Amino acid sequence: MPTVRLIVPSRFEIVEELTLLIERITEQMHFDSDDRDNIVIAVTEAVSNAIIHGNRNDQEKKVQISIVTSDKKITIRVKDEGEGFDPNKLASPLEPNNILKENGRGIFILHSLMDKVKFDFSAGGTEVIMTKYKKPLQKSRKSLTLRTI
Amino acid sequence: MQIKEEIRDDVAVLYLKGNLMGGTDSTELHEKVKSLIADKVKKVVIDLSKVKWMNSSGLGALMGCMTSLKNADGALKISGATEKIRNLFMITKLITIFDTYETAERAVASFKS
Repeated sequence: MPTVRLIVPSRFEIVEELTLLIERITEQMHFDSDDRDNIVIAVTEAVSNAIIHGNRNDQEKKVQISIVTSDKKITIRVKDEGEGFDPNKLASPLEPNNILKENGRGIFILHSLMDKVKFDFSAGGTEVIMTKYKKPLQKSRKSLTLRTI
Repeated sequence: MQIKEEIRDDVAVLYLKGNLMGGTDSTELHEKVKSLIADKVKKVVIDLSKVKWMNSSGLGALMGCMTSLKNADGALKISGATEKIRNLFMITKLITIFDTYETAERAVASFKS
């Protein structure tokens, strides 16, 4: 399966550049425009989290990104060099006590925009593994009409 | 990200252009709003019609601006959010918190009604 691997410094300029790369890959894979947008936002979210919360803005620390594509799905892994966290202890940003807070929506957004999100802490740091499946092709109007008849 | 400021009577309209995804962009926006508050401009419209990408850091920046304005007895209105930004507002339920308008003109007018 085609794979892109990147190791990048913890700098925000990288996030901008990644949007262009992910837009191009998801366009070539013929994801619909909503899904393309969702994947781009999810990747910027995961990489921003890796830079801010994982690597604590330390430019010496790297973020590893791998993008694996197939006919049916795209899987993106984003790994930082941080200390990890407990995903089960994250508060819901939708709770009335949290909704006005400036932070705490990143992981929630990842789960909302992608089909599958997993965290792996086994190799040190945090690795986010997220997958989006392509929607099955819609049936043509002709075949729908024939079936109705 | 670029910020273009326009003052219409007692309302400041900040037209953003580019991406709002954390880093210096978010800090810059919040600092801009704080400087308006310091100059006693407390009615602010942030226009997002030329913002291509936003993520949770951008949402956090908008929340920060709104909180600073509320604490100063001011108000923030948002205009021109594209469909994908509105989708983020919906997912996070911030659509119920932000006062949103189709255009900056309508947002400015709403301060007078």
